[in-house]
Amino acid sequence: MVAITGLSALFILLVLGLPVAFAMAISGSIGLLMVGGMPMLSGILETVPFSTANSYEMITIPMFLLMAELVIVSGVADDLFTAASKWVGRVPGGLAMATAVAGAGFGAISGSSTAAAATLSSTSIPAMLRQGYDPKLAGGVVAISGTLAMMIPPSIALVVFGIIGDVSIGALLIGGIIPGLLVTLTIILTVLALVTLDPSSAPAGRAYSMREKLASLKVSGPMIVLFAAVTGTIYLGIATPTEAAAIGAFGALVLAFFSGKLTLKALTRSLVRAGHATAMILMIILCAHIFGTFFTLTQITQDLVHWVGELQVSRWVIIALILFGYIILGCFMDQFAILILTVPVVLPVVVSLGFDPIWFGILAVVTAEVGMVTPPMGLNVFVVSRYTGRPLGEVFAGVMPHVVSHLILIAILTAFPSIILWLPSHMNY
Amino acid sequence: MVHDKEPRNILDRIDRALVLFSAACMFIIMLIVIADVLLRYALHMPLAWSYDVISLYLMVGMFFFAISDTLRVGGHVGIDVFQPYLPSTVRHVGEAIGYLAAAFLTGMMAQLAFFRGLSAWQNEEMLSGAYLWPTWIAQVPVVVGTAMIALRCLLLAATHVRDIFDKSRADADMTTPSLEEPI
Amino acid sequence: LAAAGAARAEEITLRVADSFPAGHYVVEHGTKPWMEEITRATNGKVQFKYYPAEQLGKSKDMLKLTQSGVTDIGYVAPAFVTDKLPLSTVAELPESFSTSCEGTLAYWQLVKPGGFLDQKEISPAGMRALWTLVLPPYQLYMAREPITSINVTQGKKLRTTGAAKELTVRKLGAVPVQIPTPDVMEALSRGTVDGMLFPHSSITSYDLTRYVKSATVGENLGSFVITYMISKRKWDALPDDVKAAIDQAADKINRNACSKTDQDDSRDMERIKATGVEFVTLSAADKAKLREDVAGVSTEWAANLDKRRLPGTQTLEAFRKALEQKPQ
Ligand code: NA
Ligand code: NA
Repeated sequence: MVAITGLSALFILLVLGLPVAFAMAISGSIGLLMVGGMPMLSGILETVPFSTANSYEMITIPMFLLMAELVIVSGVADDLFTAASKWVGRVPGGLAMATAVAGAGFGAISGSSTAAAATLSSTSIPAMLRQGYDPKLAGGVVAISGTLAMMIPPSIALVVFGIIGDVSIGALLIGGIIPGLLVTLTIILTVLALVTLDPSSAPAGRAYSMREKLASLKVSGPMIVLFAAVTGTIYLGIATPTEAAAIGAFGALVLAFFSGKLTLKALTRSLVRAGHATAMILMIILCAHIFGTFFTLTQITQDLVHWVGELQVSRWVIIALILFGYIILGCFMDQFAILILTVPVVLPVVVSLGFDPIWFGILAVVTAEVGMVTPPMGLNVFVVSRYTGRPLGEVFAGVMPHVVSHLILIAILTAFPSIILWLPSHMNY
Repeated sequence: MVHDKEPRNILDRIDRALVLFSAACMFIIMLIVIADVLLRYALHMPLAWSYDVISLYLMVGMFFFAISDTLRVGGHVGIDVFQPYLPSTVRHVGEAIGYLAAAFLTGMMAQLAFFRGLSAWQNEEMLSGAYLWPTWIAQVPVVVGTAMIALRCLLLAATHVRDIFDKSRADADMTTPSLEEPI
Repeated sequence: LAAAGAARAEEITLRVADSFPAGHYVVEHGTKPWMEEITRATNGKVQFKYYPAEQLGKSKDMLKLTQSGVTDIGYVAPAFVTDKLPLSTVAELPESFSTSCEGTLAYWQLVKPGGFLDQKEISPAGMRALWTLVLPPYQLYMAREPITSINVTQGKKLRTTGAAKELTVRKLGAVPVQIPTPDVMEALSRGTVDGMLFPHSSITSYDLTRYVKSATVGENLGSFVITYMISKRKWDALPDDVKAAIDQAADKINRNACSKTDQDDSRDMERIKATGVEFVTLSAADKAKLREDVAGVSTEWAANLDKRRLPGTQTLEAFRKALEQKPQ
């Protein structure tokens, strides 16, 4: 009864459009009042806010966000698409494939999906439209390629999953590499299929000489250095993920400095924007703790784990149901809010069924990626539509084929856990 | 872009100033961690104070000095796909109640943090690691940040109350968080 | 049926919260036996709802969460609340005890209701200790080098936690590095640290045998204190027979927990040894040098507290006296 009251309050407040964090704090507090009165509520409200921020590992989140902002300032991201298009631009659909490659490259130095979508929108869409691409195809491939930043390390989504689920952040980040490359490949294959079905949707571009191609590679220099500074140091154990994040932010600062675009104003702006995004994520984590404590006191989590354990269905059916639930939630909710809200309840169930938490973390984030581009709330689609002035419906339609192929990839990653777990298992040697 | 919203009133100005403190904390965190790693490898001398200073003061400052400004620019995400389908009165009454409750809770957080800091100050409480760190200082950003966000929630609640009665402004005044935050 | 109803009406359910993962030895040797003992001694009148693994909050918040009634009984580690219970970390100093039971039984004399620490800071914090466990003293573990002499630590990076052990690491001529326990494996395998102060049991429970080369035996380089506490407000509301049962259980549980922990310690050492880790008994000269090196740790700890007008030296003396008396 108490649990139902709390959940109903949460649901109503979310539908009203209150910030997710407030909705969780308010409904959780109502629940705590019902369970233990004012002393209990004030015990939680006194400890949780401070404890949430008073954490060393948490600095990974602002550092990765700052890195993303500074990479944008440096302008390196803009050159990625140009370089990629010189290599594959001549193939039919080549520019769309170059967009996926640039998305992966950007993802290797930034953990922010919407930043990736925004950057790609400003460079690749105009180029594709100039060459006579179907706007639907162009917008779709940009929106989906932006999500690669969420998967390929550095990834803020994986860090958040690690912090919430108490899973090794290093292993999660390294685990994101192979699935990230597979997502890139999936996007390219989807483009290939679309172009084969309708050759007029993506005319081939001009050819470039080998000299031009090689010259374009100079952009990859700073990119590789930055990727090595973060993912390389984590893989080799030179630094902890926390330290690697700060190294990444600092590397991006150096990059921005040498690009000549780093003014004091640009730096402050980057810091403030990263601060806003950090505050948003940490505020949800804070308020989820309030709601989570209430939820724990009602013993629903424990009962759920027990109940699922008693079910006479295959554990694969349960995983499929959970991922399906994530896709549905992804239609309406912010990806971080989904992870923070559900992981504390879902992860114990998944682990009790004998699944690997690293594997599940990667799957949850790939699934969250899909939510970035599904209607009605698809953050990356909004960004692409806003930056290009193309109608929302067109971009949503353009991204649909990618959603379908993403779902196929999710099924493959679910069925063969070793694809995800192979690389992290080689970290310790 | 939402970030370019100019400060319009006293609350805005305070938040805008606080978020600069937050930015400074973030920048200093980055520098300390870099220095820590460098010193560890170059001189075998990691900074003994970095862990405590970052987690006790800088992270707390970075987060709490930014929370209210984040609400100002609409950075706290919500679900707004259902809002267009709600009758405007229902929406504004609901949000008014919601923000009022949020103001109450964040105000309570501020008050509790204030008394926690006060008692830590009076009892000269220290966190003892390699050095002694006074714990009351860490409560300052908590009090300031949660008090500011409480005031801002009150302001938002008041805006919605006004919009319940003033239909002409009800549809124009979107206080719902924007979706343009970089993630 | 009426009788059953009456019994149920009298039933008291207490929430117990800690931060240990499922199956942790502290829970198996202490927390669970304690709950079972209380339920048994009260003929089922007292029942428990147990919230492990930080379900109700982080370990550093457990004191506050117990004071405010979020949980009735909470795991309080003084090391995590040095601002609130600075004196109670006394048993974490490198003093002269080499088993969990020696440390536990002596420390209990200080934290038990009416004891020195109870009077000085536990009772003033509105709390009451129910039972305690002082872990077997930490040993020096090196990742790559054999411990040929105590000089092996010079200039090395040693992972540690807590104020006293940090001081100890400095006295050993090494650099203290703070790393959360789950990250220690990574830190060892990549050389982020060269070694650590660790209890044998954590080597096996965190599966670190592959990453360490050698360790000392029978030294005391500090320890870790675990207590379970109830708020006085909750305590005062309990009926007298329940209070009596809880008071009586303390001694039994303390002994059960520490002796099983000591047994585990020997068993863990054998297991670790079987994987090829070398256990080194320091030479008499090295032992003396080590004692001399760390002797300053306790006095420095006490002096720092004295400076803050807290009875540091008095606490240290009380603990040393309790150790000498060897409570049976
Ligand atoms: Na990324
Ligand atoms: Na969506």
